[in-house]
Formats: sequence, structure tokens, C-alpha cells
Amino acid sequence: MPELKTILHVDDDEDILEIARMALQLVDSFDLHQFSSGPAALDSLDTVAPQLLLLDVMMPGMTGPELSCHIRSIDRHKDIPVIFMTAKAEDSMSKELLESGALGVITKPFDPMTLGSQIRSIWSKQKNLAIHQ
Amino acid sequence: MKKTIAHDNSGNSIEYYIVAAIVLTILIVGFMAVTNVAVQKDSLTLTTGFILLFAATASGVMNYFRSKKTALRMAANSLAVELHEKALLEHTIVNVTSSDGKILAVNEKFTETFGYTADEIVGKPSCLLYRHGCDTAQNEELMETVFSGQAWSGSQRLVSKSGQCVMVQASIFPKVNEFGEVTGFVSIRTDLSKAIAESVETGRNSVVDDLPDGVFIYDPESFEINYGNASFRQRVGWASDDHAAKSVTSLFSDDDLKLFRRYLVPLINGETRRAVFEFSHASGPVEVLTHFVEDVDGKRRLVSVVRDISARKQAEQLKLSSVSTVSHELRTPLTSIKGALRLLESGVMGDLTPDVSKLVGVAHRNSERLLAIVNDILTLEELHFGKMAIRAKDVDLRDILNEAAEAIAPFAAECEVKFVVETTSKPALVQADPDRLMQVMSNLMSNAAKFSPVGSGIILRLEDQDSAWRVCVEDKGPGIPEHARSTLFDSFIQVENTPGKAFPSTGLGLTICREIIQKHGGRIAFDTEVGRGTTFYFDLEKSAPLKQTGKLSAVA
Repeated sequence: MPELKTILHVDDDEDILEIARMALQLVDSFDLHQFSSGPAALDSLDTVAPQLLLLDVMMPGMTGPELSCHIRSIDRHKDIPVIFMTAKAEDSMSKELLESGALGVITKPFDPMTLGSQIRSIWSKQKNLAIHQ
Repeated sequence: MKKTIAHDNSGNSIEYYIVAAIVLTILIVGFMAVTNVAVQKDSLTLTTGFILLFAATASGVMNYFRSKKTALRMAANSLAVELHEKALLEHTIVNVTSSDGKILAVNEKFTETFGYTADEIVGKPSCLLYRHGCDTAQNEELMETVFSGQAWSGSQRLVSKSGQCVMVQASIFPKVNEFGEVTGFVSIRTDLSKAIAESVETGRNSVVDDLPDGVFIYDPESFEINYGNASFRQRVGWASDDHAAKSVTSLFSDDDLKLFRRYLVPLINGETRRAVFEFSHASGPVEVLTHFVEDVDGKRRLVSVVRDISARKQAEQLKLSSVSTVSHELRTPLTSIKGALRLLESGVMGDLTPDVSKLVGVAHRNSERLLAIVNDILTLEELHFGKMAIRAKDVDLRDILNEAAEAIAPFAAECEVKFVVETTSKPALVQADPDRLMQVMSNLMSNAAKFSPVGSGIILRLEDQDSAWRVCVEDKGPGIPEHARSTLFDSFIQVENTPGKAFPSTGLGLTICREIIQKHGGRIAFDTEVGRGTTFYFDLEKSAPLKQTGKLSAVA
């Protein structure tokens, strides 16, 4: 499993996009591609070719889980792991998202200083899984 | 006790025999006269003979009836005396006491009422019968009266061998010898307990029956219900006359019953005067407020008042759900605010001047505070609506206490207090969700730290309570004032004017603690004394020790 570098981030809140950008580019040094809606992200999916999708759950139009479903239906992108970000920090919701195949769930508010390491730690979980398989 | 009345009516009086002898004499003389006349043909003697015979017969018949009547009258008299005696013995308790108060003789009614056999009580001081011993004002007055040679009358509260209260109306007569000295006493008493109990019950029932709240009275051990008012019977769907001999156990589900019993423990042990328990009955959410009462017969009974709290619960849920919707919406802007402040504070955006750094610090702390409130509301909503799963497993409470003390160390240092852990040597196992227990500990401990005087120690203690483990958080803070105690676990309640340190709180922490502990089938409560401190504690049922399963098979 290669090192995590390219992340595609989708959130409808411009401020959160900005905080996440600073956290993942300034504090960390990911190759970050951000979009404020599901359709815009879908359009650039081929160009970006992300290793990981970081998706907000509650978005107008297309929600995070809907976007994830959509991407999974495209054969060449179906294996891209997904981490959801949500302000709804309920146990039941996290469980549902994980059961639907998400790699991890990060609750908002997140700490920008540790967001990168949080994502890496979830990423490595997937790496371990891959080894076991 | 059954007594037979023997009355002997076979014996006749001397009078009867005398009359019978005279009649017999006249009869013989009359007979002789008649037989003689029959030989001598003397009409005068014949007439005399017949008269004598007639007189004798009439006298005999009259005497027969007279004697019968006398016998009947005597029998009736004897019966009346015996009935009188029987009535006296059945309804009065009699005992004879020496002048120094030792019981010399008792009647059957006495032994029946007080539960002592004659052998047990004779020779013992009569003070044994007095509920509060002999040193009472009433007894002093009694002694003064009887030693002055007069009889004393009054009501007394005595006690039976089994400790049951016996209410009596008593008359105590002194026995005085020829020198005018009091040599002893005869006490005659009537048991009033039953009559008083009945009249009190009738009075109470007529008042309590019409209350809108359900009221039921029951035995604390057998849980048998002695009384249930109209509202209670209606709620539980009992017909008006069948509340007798029903058990409290039928009112609850097994889990609720377990919890209810746990809530009664401190009441039964005398640690508290009342117990409040909320649960969802089939008829809706109710609050059960329970008190102990000592009935007139001296028996301790529990009285529970059942109040419908559906309206309150609905309002609470409405408030919570609307607040929780807003809370969700608040988390998104909070993410940006906190994130921006955190980035600034960290210095990745460049160095800040001391003033700017201070202001960023203020903003950051307050955003933390806002987030804490929002999180508490959301937690509470999850608990209320059953969205939060309790993942129970075997947990050693000693670990929880140690971990909690470790986790709170930075905050304790900030508050300038010290946590001291007192655990047991053996494992304290319970079935619980460790994360939720840590949440409870964190709330209780941060409260204690906030309200404890600088430099003081806060004790985290584990106590063995037979079937449960008790975790205590004991502080030396200002204590909780009387007016705040009953609502302390309610949402958004904070004790006003508490001389705590300037640390913010949400007013939801204790509500969350209660919800979590109740979800574990446990009970949370506190002991407090103004000026001395407060101990919050929760009880969780013990689980059986972990079995030695040997080596676990490797997980693939």
C-alpha cells in the first residue's frame, strides 16, 4: 500500500474547506483537491485520481453517502476508500456509515493540528486490512 | 381461645325437699282417710279425705312448677355471671404487679395480647411492656397517683414481645393493706389498637381516595399492598375492591422492579427520608415518590405517591429535540471558529503579539465551552431517545477509577486539587460500558474539582455494598443547599451563587450521569452537608467474577 498523498475533499461549507486546506497543506503536506459539491467532485474524479475521499455527510443536492455510492458504481473508482466528516456525532450514525463501507468517520469540529495524523491513522487501518486479506 | 360455660342444674334446694315432704304427708293422710271412709261409709271423713288428697295433689303440682322456675332462674343467674366473667376475660387484659413493679400474675388475654407466656413474663418488670421504658412523664404521673392510693386511668402505648405497638386504655388500681401501705397493683387494660387502626384507616382513606395522584401503601418486605387509592387503582386497572393482597411486583417489569428496589435501599436503611424513582409504566411515564410511615399498629410501611409526568416529559423532550436540532447546526460554524483559532494559536500562521495571543486564547476557550454545551445536549438527546447504545462488558471499577484519576490530572492541577483513589484489593467487576462510565466519572470529578477549595483532596472510593459496588466521589466543597437538592439532576440546573471557581459548566452533566447510570440499571445519588462537602455516588450491580477460560484461541 503506497503512502497517502492525494486526497479529494468535498464539503459545502467554504470556511471548513479553508480550515481543512490549511490543516492538510500547511500543517501536513497532502496533495489536496477540494470541491464544494458532489457533482463538481465527480467531474474531476478522473483528473485528480485520489487515493482517498474525504466527504462531508450533510450536503445539499447530493449528500456524502450518495456521492460515495455514485463513485462506487464507477468501476475504475470503486475501491477508493472513503472517510466521512460529520457534525452529527451520534453513535448510530457513525455505525451506519462504517457498515455502509466507509473506512472511518471524523467528527466535527476536528482539530486542524491533528487532522492529518487522524486521517493517516485511519488510512493505515485499511493498509492492515489489506495485509490480512 | 374458647371457653365452655358449665352450669349444674341437677341439685335442688332444701326448700324443695321440705315442701315435697309435707305434700307427701298430706297425701298419705288423705289416702288413709279415703280408704277408711270406704270401709266405714262416713261421708264427712270421706269428704275430708278427698279434700286432703286434692290439696296434696294441687300443692305437689304447684311445688313442682315453682321448683322448676327456681332452677331456671338460678341457671340463668349463673349463666349471666359466667358470661360477664367471660366478657371481662376476653376483652380485658389483667395483670397483678408487686409494689416494685414486678409482674406477679397475668390472665390469658394478657398473654394473648403481648405474646409472652405466663412463665416468661411473671417475675419480670412491667417496664418491659412500655414502649419507651418507664422513665416517661406519663409513667411518673401514674406512679404518683397509684402510690397515693388512688386509681390511675389513661391511654398507654405499650409494646408486645415481638415489638409491635399495642395501644390500650388502662386502669391501674393500687392494693392497699390494713396499714394503708400500697402492696401492689392490679392493672386492667383494653386493647384499642385495632379500633384505632380502623378509624385512622377510614379517615385516611376518605381523604387519600380522592387525590389525583395515585397512592399505595405496602409492606416493605413482602411488598404486599394494603391500600391503593382510586387514582392508583384506575392507573393499574384494578377493580375497586381487589387491591388487597396484590403485590407491588406486579406493577413493574423485571428490570424496573430491580431498579425500584435499588432506589428503596437507602430509604429502608434509613440513609434518606424519601426516594424518587422515574419509570415508564404501561400507562405512561410516572414518578414514584416513596416515604416510610409508621402505622398506628407500629408496623413500618411504605407509602408511594405515583405522579403522572407525561406532560413534563413531553415538554422536556420537545425542549431537548429543538435544542438538539440547533446544536447540530451549531457544530458546523463551531468547526470553522475553533479550527481557525486553533491554527492561529498554534503559530503555523506566524507569531502572534502577546495581546493578540491573549485574545485568541479567550475566543478559543469560549468556543470550547460552547462546544461542551452542544455536545452535552446531543449526548442527552441520544440517551433520551435511546440512540446511544450501552456496550456492556465486564469492567473492573478499580481500573475505571485509576484511569479517571489519571485523565483528570491536568484539570485537577489547574483547579489546584488532588484526587486520591481508594479502591479494594479484590476486583470490582460490573457489567458496564467503560466509555460511558468514564463520562460519568469525568462529570462527577470535574464538578468536585470545580467546587473544592484550593489545596484540598477529593476522594474516589470504591465500596462493597453486598450485591452492588458503590463508587463515591467525595469533595470538601461548599455542599448543596437544601433548595437545590431535589432538582439537582434535572436538565439545565445549576446551583446559583455557589462559591465555586470560575470554571464554566453546562448544567447538563449530572442529568447525563443519571441517564447513563440508569441505563446501566444502577442508581446515582448524593450526600451533602452545607459547609462540609458533598459525596456523589453510584451503585452498579456486581457481576460474577470472570471465569478462567485458559488461553483464548487466536483470532484470525
